[in-house]
Amino acid sequence: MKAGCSAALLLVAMLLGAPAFAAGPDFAGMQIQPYDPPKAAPAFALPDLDGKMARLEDLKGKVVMLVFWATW
Amino acid sequence: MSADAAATLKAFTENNNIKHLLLADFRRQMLPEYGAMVTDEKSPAYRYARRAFFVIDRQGIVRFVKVMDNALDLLKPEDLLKAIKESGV
Repeated sequence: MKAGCSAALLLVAMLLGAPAFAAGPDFAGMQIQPYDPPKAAPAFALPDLDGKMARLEDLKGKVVMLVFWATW
Repeated sequence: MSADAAATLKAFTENNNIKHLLLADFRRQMLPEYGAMVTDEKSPAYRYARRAFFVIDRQGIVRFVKVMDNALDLLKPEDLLKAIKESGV
């Protein structure tokens, strides 16, 4: 009986959790970590490829995906 | 943001029809601020970029991060972009 209750509780927990996992973005699958605690992104000001300065503050109000890469 | 020189990146964008904002941090101003630079104290010239991804919300707050130890590991930016759109960050 006790085992049956535990199994039922586990099933309920799985069912409750399932929609969130199914519908949510797969950050974990990509091994993207929440930045905890969240903090302000370091400001930057660099010229774009036409020489015009690009600043992080100019992008405020937009979600920014910042990707660092190079020719390795 | 790339650690390559601006002239190199300009040719790359023209040849590959790249439309998004691309910045050159050839002088390594931004890389250390984001913890995305590898150095070697025995060689001052050894200052390589790590492959790294940051998601910054509308208020300028870093919400998600992935800094990769091995640059040969890949993560498709379009997959991350899709997840960002789904997350409602």
